[in-house]
Amino acid sequence: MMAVTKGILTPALFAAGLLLTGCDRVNRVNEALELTGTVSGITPRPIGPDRLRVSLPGTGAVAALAPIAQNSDVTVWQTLDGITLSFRRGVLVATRGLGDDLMSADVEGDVNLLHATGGDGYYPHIRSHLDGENRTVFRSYQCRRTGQAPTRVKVSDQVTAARRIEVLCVSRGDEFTNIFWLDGAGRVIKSRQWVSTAVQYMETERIPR
Amino acid sequence: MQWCFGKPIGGAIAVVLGATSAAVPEDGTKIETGYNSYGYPGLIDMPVATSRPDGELAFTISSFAGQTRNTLTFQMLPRLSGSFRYSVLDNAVGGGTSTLYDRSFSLHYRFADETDLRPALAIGLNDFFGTGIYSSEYLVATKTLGSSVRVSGGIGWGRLGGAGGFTNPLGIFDDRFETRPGRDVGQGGEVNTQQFFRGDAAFFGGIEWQATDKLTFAVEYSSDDYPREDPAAFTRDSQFNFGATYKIGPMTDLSLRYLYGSEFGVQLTTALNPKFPPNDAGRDPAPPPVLARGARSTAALSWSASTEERASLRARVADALRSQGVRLHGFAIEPDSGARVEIENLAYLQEAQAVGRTARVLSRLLPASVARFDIVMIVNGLPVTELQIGRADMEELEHDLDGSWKSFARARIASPVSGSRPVPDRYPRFDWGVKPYLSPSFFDPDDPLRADIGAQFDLSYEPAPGFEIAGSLRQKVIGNLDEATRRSDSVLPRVRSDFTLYDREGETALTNLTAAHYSKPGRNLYGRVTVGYLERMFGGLSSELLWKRNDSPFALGIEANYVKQRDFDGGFGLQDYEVATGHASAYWDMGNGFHAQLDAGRYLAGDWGATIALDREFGNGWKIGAFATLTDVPFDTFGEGSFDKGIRITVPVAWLLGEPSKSSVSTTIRPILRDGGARLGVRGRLYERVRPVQKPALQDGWGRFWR
Repeated sequence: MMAVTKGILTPALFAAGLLLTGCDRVNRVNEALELTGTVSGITPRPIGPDRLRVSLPGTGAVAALAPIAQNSDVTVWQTLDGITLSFRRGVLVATRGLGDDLMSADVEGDVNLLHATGGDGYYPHIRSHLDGENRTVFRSYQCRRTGQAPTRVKVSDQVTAARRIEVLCVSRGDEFTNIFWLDGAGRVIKSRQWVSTAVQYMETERIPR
Repeated sequence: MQWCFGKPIGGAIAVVLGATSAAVPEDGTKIETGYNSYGYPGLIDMPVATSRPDGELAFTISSFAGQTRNTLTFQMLPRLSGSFRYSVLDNAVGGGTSTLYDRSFSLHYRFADETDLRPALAIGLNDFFGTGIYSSEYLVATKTLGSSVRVSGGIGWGRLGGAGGFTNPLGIFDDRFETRPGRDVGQGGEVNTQQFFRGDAAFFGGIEWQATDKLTFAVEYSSDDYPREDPAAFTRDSQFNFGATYKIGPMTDLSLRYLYGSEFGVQLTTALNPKFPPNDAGRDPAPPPVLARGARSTAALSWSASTEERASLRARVADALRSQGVRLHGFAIEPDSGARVEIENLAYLQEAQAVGRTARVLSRLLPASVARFDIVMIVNGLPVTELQIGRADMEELEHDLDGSWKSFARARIASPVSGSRPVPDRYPRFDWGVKPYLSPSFFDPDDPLRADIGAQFDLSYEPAPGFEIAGSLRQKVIGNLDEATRRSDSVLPRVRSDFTLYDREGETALTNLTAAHYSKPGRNLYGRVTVGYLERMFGGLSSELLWKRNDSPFALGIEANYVKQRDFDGGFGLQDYEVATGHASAYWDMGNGFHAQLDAGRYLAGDWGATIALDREFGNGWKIGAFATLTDVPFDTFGEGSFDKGIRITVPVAWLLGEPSKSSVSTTIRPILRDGGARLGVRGRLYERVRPVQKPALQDGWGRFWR
């Protein structure tokens, strides 16, 4: 992965207390990102001790993220190189800095399914992204639970008991399957979630404190 | 031949040709439409009725028997495409010595789509300006059979009615259709409407077979009789042509042909579509998240409103904005109501993105009691647009599915009444930079493509709001523009046609050095006075007044200048020629990305007339347009080309690199640059400074507010 480049290796960063190393950059073409130098990624200021390990199997990138903001039930997590991921109770609602970003998502049905009494019926799931002319494009999916089973899952080298929930979302000419692993307290400790056509799936894993 | 007054780095376009992904054709056909040897939608030499995807910009180069055609084609509407072609005809009759260089335009309009029963139908005009070597018209039908075969057939006139021609069937309406009048070529450039669809007509047709995803075969019966090329350049033994096209890249095709029973030909086509950026919506670093009050941080946002604390808050806001590519211009805070924050967007093509990032920064830093952000967009020291954004809306809509539209609907956007109140360290400000430049020259028959490359030094000094002293110096490093030996034969004052002398003598040249004052004399009025060396060829005084309401698609402007011609060497000297020039301008944002502009007035050579310009602007900043100027200079006096016209292309750097940038690369292509209808080039014209910051443009770019 990418080596730490100058300008990133600042004392301020270490002061931020992040356990992040050079491989905490999702974007592999980082040199090209600094051609214009007009905007810099913000320095992460963690608001809590939790960390999240995220990988993008499509590009092979891996990074650890720290929480930097909380707005009602949405938590924003950030890498070192200016990428943020926002989750509503464990379900992805936005990405920034990945290029083909998820701009917003209505995940009320997913949250109900994971955390309340969601049943086996279909529920709506809506996502938006920007097209090549900066217009917001919405895409509506019908989702339903296609699997639920108790299992044991390895999270950060520790095997724990978890509930595995699989969700299939279908739109015309497009579909994806998200998988969530919940611990006994009902928190999402591991997941595989769809981001966008260019970014594909994203895998997340809670790093225990 | 052209002279760039903007940022002439046109070559960068070539770098990304073929880089974007292919689009689904909008007319619903399964078999991709190709470009023919003339560069418009077609088979081999003949047209088809289908079109390319909307917005596509293609470059085609084809060659056989010494006939080389370079064509730039733009699918300007889903049904309408336009082509500009530069041809080199070896051994053609009319070439004088032996080689003929010709510039021509084509239009292709699909007026009916294919249905189950009916074929697609299109009409086309070729080479309707000027010498008319390729002058022809056609009506063509195309029908798909099954999933991989498509047949086309039509009737042509002019050059396309030459082989196998018969008496024009339109003669039943009027006998005049039966003869195609000779063309009064004159100086070229005139539209020859009196020839349209007249003279003998002939049938043509062909079949395309999509053998695999990448390989297509075509056979056609051509009605083109090559009146100037046969027999001087080659001999037609047959009217049947055979071709194979292989897709060597996602947007690049290579074709081989066997033509007219005697010649082999080759064609390369490459295209891009501005609608599909190579980096999707851009790899901008993520914006800072909104800090919701009451979450945990109200303590961090409390303050005592002392003078020291205000200054320290202002400094923290300025720092945070700077890292987001935004410069703080003014800052006033009323702790129990709102904050008024003046900003200059330095980074983003879409001003809405600068507004969104500013509002995010303010939500993180301002005291919790501040409920409203008044963000004022500053351009050249002038407050152009004020946006009132509720802090609670930022907190509520950050993760809302429809947050983009809702936040736009809730923002109040207007032209501010009050002036700007700059922060103490904003003025005076000195800036400088060095960047490379590329200055191309097209279509000199001795060498159709020349260019200079060098370094450009820019400096600017802003002593106070609205005042700017700016200059640019160019140093040529390498290039061959000075090899041009053709001298102007113009009988008009040589206000542009001496460009080769400027290129030759000005290897180190001061391209501009001006002092300018920008003002806002009324709520919707903007003013500019510029004095100095305005452009490479002229210096003097330029003044402008623009009326533009914040929410209106219309604007009116007036410009008056008094200028003297500069010396060729790019120094401080002036020549004797001086002229009063100026225009009244009307601007219209037509919607759907189309923009029209009409300028009427007196041009540099003292001629009176008007310029009409039409541009298509994509939501990502690409602009492709055309312009034409008619003045009281008679076509014979104007010289070759008859009147000034051309096409212009602007490519945003952000589209190329996928990073935030306000810069763009522009180039203007004129068939020929002469002295009639020449407009002064002056920096800082108001309309294009003001428009991107006003409500309609903010709305178009609001998708990036949350980015």
